[in-house]
Amino acid sequence: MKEPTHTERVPQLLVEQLALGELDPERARDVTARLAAEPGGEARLAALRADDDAI
Amino acid sequence: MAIDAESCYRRYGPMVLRRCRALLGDEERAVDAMQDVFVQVLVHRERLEDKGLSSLLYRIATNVCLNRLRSRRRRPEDPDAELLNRIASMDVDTDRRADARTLLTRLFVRQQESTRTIAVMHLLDGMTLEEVAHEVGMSVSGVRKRLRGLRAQLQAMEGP
Repeated sequence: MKEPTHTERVPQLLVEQLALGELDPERARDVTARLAAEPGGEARLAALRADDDAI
Repeated sequence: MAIDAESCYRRYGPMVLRRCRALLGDEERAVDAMQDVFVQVLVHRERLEDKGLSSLLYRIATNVCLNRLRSRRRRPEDPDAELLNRIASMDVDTDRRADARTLLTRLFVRQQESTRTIAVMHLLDGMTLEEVAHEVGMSVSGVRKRLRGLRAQLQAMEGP
């Protein structure tokens, strides 16, 4: 079974928790950096926030 | 301290709905499942704290959706493949998707709820063992043990 690594897509729960401000500062920095490195990662966060507004 | 269910709904409703949408692949069913999640919140509100509820609600939403998928799977009008493909079509790589499809078939039938949640988080959501352990409040070795037990059970089911 393939083991996920931090080079892969940031799990959605972590993106949700980042948007909710529920990650501790160190974790938030790590997830932000991972999203920045992920193709379309920052757009995911923006889309999530837009979806929040739509819902 | 009891939580304010209304503010909880406002804060976490969108996250829960997205989770239900992703697992169920159907807006109407997702909204229905989301409502079930918040019914559980209401029932247990006296025991919940209005702080950092995302992990708990994400797990509840996952379980609610898995239970619904399991129920639907029993209906003849809902082909198994369609249900599993909906779950498996989440954004994961092909190897893990195939792996997940095999595992989930068994998970729906035999595994206890927490093990199903762990497997979905690891196999479908792409969370590392450490991330899953953090979210479910278990040790990494505990999570690994659950997954190992699951694999052993699968191997036993599939025979030599």
